Amino acid sequence: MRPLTEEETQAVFKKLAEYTGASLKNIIAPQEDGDRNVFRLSQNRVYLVRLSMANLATSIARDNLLSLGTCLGKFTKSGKFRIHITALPILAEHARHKLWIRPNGVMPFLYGGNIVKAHVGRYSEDCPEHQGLVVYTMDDVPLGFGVSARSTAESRRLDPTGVVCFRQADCGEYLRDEDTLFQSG
Amino acid sequence: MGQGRRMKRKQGMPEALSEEHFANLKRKAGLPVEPPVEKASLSNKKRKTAKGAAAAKKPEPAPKKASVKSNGKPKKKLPEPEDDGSEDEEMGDEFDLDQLEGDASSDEEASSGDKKKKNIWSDDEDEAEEDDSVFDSDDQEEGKKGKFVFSDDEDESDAEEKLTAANIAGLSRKLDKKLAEDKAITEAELQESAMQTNIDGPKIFGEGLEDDEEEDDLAKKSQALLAPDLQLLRQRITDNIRVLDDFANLAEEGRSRAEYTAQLLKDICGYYGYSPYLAEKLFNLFTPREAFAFFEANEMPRPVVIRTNTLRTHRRDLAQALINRGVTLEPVGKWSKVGLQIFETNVPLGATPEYLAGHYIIQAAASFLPVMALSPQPNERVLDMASAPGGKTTYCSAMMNNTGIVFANDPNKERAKGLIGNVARLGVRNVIVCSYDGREFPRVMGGFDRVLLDAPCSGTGVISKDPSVKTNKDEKDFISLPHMQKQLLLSAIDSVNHASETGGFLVYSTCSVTTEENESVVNYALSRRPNVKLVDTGIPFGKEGFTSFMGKKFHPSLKLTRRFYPHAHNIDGFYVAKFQKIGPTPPNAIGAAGKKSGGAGADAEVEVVDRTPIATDDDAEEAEEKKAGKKAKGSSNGPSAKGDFSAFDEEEDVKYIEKAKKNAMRRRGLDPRSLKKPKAQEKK
Amino acid sequence: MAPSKTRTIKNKHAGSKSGAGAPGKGGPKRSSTDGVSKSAKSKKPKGPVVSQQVKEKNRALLMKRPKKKTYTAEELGIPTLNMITPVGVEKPKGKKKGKVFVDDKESMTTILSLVQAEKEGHIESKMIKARQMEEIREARRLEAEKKSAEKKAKFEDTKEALRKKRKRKNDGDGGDNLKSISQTGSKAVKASKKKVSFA
Repeated sequence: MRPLTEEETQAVFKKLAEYTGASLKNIIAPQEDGDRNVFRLSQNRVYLVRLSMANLATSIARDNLLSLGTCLGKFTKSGKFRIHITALPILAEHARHKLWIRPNGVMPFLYGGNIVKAHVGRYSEDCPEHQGLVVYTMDDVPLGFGVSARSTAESRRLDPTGVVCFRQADCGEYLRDEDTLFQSG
Repeated sequence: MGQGRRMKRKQGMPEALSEEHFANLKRKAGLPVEPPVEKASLSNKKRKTAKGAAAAKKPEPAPKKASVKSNGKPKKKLPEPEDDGSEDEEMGDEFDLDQLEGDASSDEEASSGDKKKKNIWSDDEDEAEEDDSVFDSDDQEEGKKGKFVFSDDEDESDAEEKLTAANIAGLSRKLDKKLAEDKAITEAELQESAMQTNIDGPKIFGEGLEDDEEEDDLAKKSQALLAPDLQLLRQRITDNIRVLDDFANLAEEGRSRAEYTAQLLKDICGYYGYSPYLAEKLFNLFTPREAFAFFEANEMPRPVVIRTNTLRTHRRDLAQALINRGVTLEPVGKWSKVGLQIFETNVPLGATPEYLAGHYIIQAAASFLPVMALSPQPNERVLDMASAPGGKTTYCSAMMNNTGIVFANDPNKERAKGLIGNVARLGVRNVIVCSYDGREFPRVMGGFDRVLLDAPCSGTGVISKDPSVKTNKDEKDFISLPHMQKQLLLSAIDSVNHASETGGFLVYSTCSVTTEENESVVNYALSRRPNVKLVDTGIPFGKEGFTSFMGKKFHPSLKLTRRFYPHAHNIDGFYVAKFQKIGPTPPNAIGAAGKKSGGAGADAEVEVVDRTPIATDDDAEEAEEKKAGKKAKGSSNGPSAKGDFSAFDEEEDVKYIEKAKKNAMRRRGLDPRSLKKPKAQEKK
Repeated sequence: MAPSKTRTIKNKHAGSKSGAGAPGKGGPKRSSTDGVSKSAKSKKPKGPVVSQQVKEKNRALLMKRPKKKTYTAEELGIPTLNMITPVGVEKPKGKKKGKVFVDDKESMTTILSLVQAEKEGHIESKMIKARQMEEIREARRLEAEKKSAEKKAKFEDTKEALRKKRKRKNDGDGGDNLKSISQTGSKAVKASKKKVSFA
């Protein structure tokens, strides 16, 4: 387990900023009890964790430490940062653009499908093309995230089967990808 | 699209184990190829177990034929051979299963069970002393067995299903050979001990039992293909229980209680499919009637229960959402504010959007209890020693409202994956997941405000979930598991911070109902660690723990622990004990403070031995003194144990310093006595 | 700063050298004189200045042993493949070995704000672009609408015209069906043409 280097920090922030607005700075802001969140890298996975927890976790040997705090994603072998569904709570808290889907669209999305216009209940105004989106149900439960296929204005003119949002991660992965999503040994 | 492994298993409720199930088993196993051989082997086994029983009984003349019971109730008209045969066959099948499970040696062990049991249950102190030396082979055994039962397990019900028709074919060939050998031995024994077998046939219906072995042989062929008469077997069980309930009035003349009990046990083995060893062990925990209720309850599935994740939602909202999806549910009971019991569901509970969004977790009601007993507070440091699949860990976090730190440890990295999944899904942020052997723990990290140890166990409380326990647990398990549990419990105790302002508590729980894994372990810990005491669990229901069992006395405070039974509380069989740590663990306690103290002690010993060649009387005396001092110190900090490290004893230190100097001189090849001489002169 | 800009390269070089020898003194002083000399007298002050320079140089040379030139690997033209450090890996000189971690709040905030500003810019430009595209599309749409409206109007006109013509024809021919009308109409026209030409 180690902190991130400058480049790594930048890569992580870049990816997060894809989905979040200005309030992202709150995740590293000091909390009222004097603690603050820091990034930690353990076996290529990046965790967002309270500093006090990170300090205690140093007692755990590398091979025995499997997870701490919230896992944001992992660095690929080529050095890119890949965000995971486990980062959803943080994205949902600070989302810039949001998409709400109707009840009939929830299961198709959770099974890994893209979002078609017929399933869209509500859509943030002013969302450009290829911009990160956080996906919610109509009663504001975050389900996953993706990128917009068209801008808001354009998707208004779309036919009902047209894709509005490309899925990147959804909660269904907890069932589908349990074996690959988490660190093993 | 690939469904997750967990998803498949989590759906719906387990099917009830009905009598049809056994009937099916019967038909499958009773393939026409087998019967004659099987028969032989089973009569062999039967006789063996019967012998064991006979040995336990008082010597008694062969019973008369009693056609009418003493209460005057006309006995059932049953052609004896048929009845017997059916029962035998049933047993035979169960034994078959037994062997398929790969435990061929259980017969021999069963016959010598009595003797061994005495060893197991012998004085606690002795056992404790032996602990480290005797059972050291444990670790390898663990590796071999691999799988233990945890109360939270959601995915291990299919051990039996693995015995598909395919491998049955292969296995039966192997069995055939083995059974043929058995048969030969049986034949010999039969002739030799025909008289003896007469004593212990099923006597309750009286007639024509003397020759049951022979009749078995005769009736074999005709019986082989018939389904077992479970109805009759059950009838006999209930009759026997009735008699045992009111033995003075209902018992036949000349039949002892032991005889009835032996018969009842045998019937239970046959009817429910337990190994005789386990059946007896479980039977002894209860009165006959309660035991019957227990065995019955183990055939019924427990209700599916989910726990609301209070980090994400409220129980009322969750219930509404699930009701809208066509789930029938109800709060699990007054004792829990987060549990919902599911009666019926049209959707897979492990794949609803609410589940995936982390609003609830499927968790047996019983595994709420240890966490409720632990009641972790916000901002504490908590350790969950064997935490997969994470129901209890996430419950702890929810109780602490995502503050403080929960260390979730599980020695099995594969299981830890599911744990991490649940932790992430439920939005828990204060958990550190690590993978150590729990016994390493005080050395990895100590100072926890609370520790939860839900120890790996035999799973005798969750037989309804995993019926393979009925046959695959033997004496060895009931030696090795408690041994490990004791080690784990001591490590857990040593990991607790006694000086914690809010905590200093430890909860030990198992999903087993046997005393070896529960009261004995707790009692052992109390005897090894004078710095802990049992406190009330705070759970409003459950039965008190045993303070004595089968002639073995436990500490009286064990009545503060709680037992839970499927038949009494409709939750899995469970045991919960809550400790409070009131002082530091003395450094010289057995297996304490890591192995450090042990190591230091050994070093001291070595030093003493080293010194002998040039030792004088003074030295020897000093060594004695030192030992005595150490002992006194150990005992003095026993109960209160507060001032263990609080003050320095100057006089004592002087001695140690002197000794160290001498050692140093000796190492340099000088005579240590020369150090003393000038001093002595000075004194003079 | 103006005089320093006017300085010759040689002067500059000397200045820097002298600066190295006696830091903080020679630089500014000389630069002022330099400026004066350049503006007023060109030759006279140059001599002493040069001599001073030489003196300083000499002193510096005396103090420092002449530096031997060290050659870098590139200058020597050593084949790149046969080296201890793999090709492409450049070890920065004078830097600490290993990774430099960012763990303090300040630098993290800095990085975050940098990233956010960049992102903001991207999104902003994306949105501007989207808006422009939208405007263009709108304009095109309007144009297309206009065109189609014109077309339609033209079509309507033709239709009207035909109808009027047909009405006239209808007045003459009486009750024929549509096909025959058109046929006859055309024939009639042709016929009439022929007639006209013939006649």
